[in-house]
Formats: sequence, C-alpha cells, structure tokens
Amino acid sequence: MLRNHLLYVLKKNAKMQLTERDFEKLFKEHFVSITIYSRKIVQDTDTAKDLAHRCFVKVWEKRETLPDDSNLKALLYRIAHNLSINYVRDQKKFTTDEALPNVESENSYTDSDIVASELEAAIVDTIRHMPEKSREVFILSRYERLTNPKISEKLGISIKTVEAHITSALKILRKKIFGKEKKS
Amino acid sequence: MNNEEIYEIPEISDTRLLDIDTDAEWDKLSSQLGFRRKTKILRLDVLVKIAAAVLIVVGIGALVNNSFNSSDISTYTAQNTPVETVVENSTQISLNCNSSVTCNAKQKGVFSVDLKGEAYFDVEKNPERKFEINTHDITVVVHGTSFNICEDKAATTVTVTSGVVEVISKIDGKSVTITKDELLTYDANKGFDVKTVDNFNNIAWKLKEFKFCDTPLAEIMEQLSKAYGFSYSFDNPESKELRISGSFCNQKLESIISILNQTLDETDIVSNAEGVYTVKNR
Repeated sequence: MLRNHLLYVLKKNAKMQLTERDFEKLFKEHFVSITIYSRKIVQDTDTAKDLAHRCFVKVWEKRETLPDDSNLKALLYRIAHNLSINYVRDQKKFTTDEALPNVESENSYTDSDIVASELEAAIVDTIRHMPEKSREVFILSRYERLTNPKISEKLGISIKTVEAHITSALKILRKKIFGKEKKS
Repeated sequence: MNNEEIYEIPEISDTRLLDIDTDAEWDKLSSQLGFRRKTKILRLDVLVKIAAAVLIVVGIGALVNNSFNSSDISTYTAQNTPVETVVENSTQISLNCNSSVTCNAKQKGVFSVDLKGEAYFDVEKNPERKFEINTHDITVVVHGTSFNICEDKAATTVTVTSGVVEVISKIDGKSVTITKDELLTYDANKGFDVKTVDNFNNIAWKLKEFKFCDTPLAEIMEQLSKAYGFSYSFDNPESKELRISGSFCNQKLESIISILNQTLDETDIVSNAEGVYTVKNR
C-alpha cells in the first residue's frame, strides 16, 4: 500500500524529459495549426507566426517544470490563446482601430476551434506538398476564384490541362483530408 | 469536372499560410534557442564545382540583365528631414536624416537596397522576389516584415518590429536570424550581439513611440531630439540625472514637453524662438 502510494507520488512529481528532437517534432507537427489558431484571434498572419514562435519558446523554457504527463498540445493552444488575447488587448490600449477583433475571455477557446485549426493546417500542408503545377492551378481556382479559361490564359496551358490539374488536386485533398476518394 | 466540387474543400484564412516553411521556421527557432545546428558536410571539390557553376550563371545573368534593364536603379536621399518612399509596389522605406538608399531591381528574383545611414523598412512579402539590404558590413535578408537598420562605422544595428529577418556578416559570412522585439548589433571585431528589447525608443524617429522606465532626463532629451529634430542644452548638469517613467504614443513634441514639465518638480523645459530647448531650474 505504502509502496503504491510512493510510486504514485513519484510519478506525480516526475518532470517531463523533453529532448531537442522531441521538441523539433512537436514544433513541426503543430506550428502551422498554432499559427492558424492565433490568426483567428489576431487577424494577421505575420503577427500570428510571431506569437506561435513565442508560444514554442515558452514551452521550451517551461519544460523542466512541466509534469511528466503534461498534454503538450493542449498547453500549446492554451499559451497561444493567452498570448493572442493579450496581444489584441495591448493593441487596443494604443489604438482606436475598430477593425481589431473583440477579445473574448481567457478560457473561451473550445475543442472545435482547435479541430478547425488542425483541419485548416492539414489542408495547408496538403496543398503545399502538391505537385507544383497542380498546386498553382488549385490556388488560382479555389482561393483566387479565377475561372478555368482565365487560369488557362494566365498560365498558357489548355483548359483541359487546367481541369486535369484541378481533378488531381481534389483527389489528393480528398484522400488526405477525408481519407477517401470521391466515388463517381 | 463539376466546378462545384472544388468548393467542397474548406476555405483557408489566408493564402500566405501556404508559404510557411516549417523547416525554415524551425531553423529560426532553434537558432534563437541556441540549439546546435545540424551541419551538412560538403566536399571541397564539390564546393569548387558549385562555386564555378554559380559564377557562370551569375556572369551570364549579369550580362543579360545589363543589356536589358538599365533603368532599374534609383537612389533616394534624405538630408535635413526624414523622407518616405514606396518601392516594389508596396514596400515602404522611411529614411532618417542624412541617409540614402540605392534600390537595384536589375537582378531577377532579388530586389537589393544599398543603405547608407539609417532607415526603417516595412517590406511587403513577395515570394517571387527576395528583398535584401546591404550596408558596408552586413546583408539583411527579408521575408515580409518591418525593421530598422542604423548603419554606423563602429557598429550596425537592426531592430525588428514585426516578422523575421536574417542578417549575414560580410566579413565572415556568419548569419543570425532575429525576430520581433529583438535588437541586433554587429561589430566587425566582436561579431553579432542579439538582445530582447522592451521598447523601440531607438527607432522613435520613425514610430514616434517612447517607453521610459526610470530613465534619466538626459537620455529622454537625447531620444526626443533625435525623433523630433531639435537642439537642447542643460543649464544645470544635475538635472540630467532626474528619472522619469511613462510612455508616449504619436504625441506632438509640445504635448510631451508639457507632460514632462508637469512631472518635474523644480525643473522646466523651455524653448526659445529658434526652437532650441533648455532644461533649467524653475
């Protein structure tokens, strides 16, 4: 009984052993989604990237005080949330810019915000790793809203080739994001 | 193909997210945290071959560029007052007094700027064209950000207010990446020194933002005189040591001086008809 209790106390007080390699993996896995999450609050990509960097720096600095069973992902999102909220508040102190978002309470982040950020990060990652031409055509079509004839004209390729690239890009995305291809 | 299918894929909040290179971001962070870099070992003969190939390509490129673009170089100079200019569509350069920049758009894929003196840059990100700034001792490679460079014979300083820049020594080729709220000082003899800053008083000439924390009046007057371009003197040297805390954001000089006068008990800052300020006992 006493032995079990001692083991419990030891485990509870055990500190996390986060190596540089573990930290690199954590960073590469979550940097984009943390940036996206922060961007939802601060509404600016460059600032969100800066805050995401600071977020990882904070985790690294805290590593020796973290309990062994810490959920690093949850910790990252919590720090990102607080840094972003503080950033918006600080901005509001110095400016009357009404375009700045309304900051919510410090505990208002939800699982669905995290899931949405992770989904968006997965889409970003998949598009980034598409073959170059398919990526270019897909971005022009989906995010710059150009029609297929306009894309064909802009890139000097036939409309059929544009369609082929979009089909290929959609196939890759469906497979990576939804885990399946659309049945025709 | 049904055009509606493409809209099944969720929107992304900003297409610039697609430019995030996590490997490059990791390099920046690991350098900031002082992690040991993974060294890539290249054989000398391979290096010589690469250098030769680069020289040939650069040589041909220079010839081609010289023959087709002869009007892509422009120089801007600020003498007694700061000057602002926009280059490369939306990149803003604010030049401090007695400074100049020469912009060179001749080389494909690179927009380079030669800086003499001090300037603040707000660079618009352009994935197709690298933006770099050269001083006599360093090259600063920019990835869409805002920062200040102050070139001086003794040392050059770079202050980043947003984003990330890479600074490369022209002496030994070493490089350092700095991010927001960091101040880099480069001295050819001592190398790089990076520290975190909690205020941007050194670039207040551009931002007009000051944060003073128990700062001596001498230092405050020096920073205000640089930012607003006036001369000043102290009647009583002891006043130089008076300490003041407070922050000012985009305020007129007269309003700052008025607040300082209300804060100081037995000292007044007054200006004469020529706009020269004197700090004297009340």
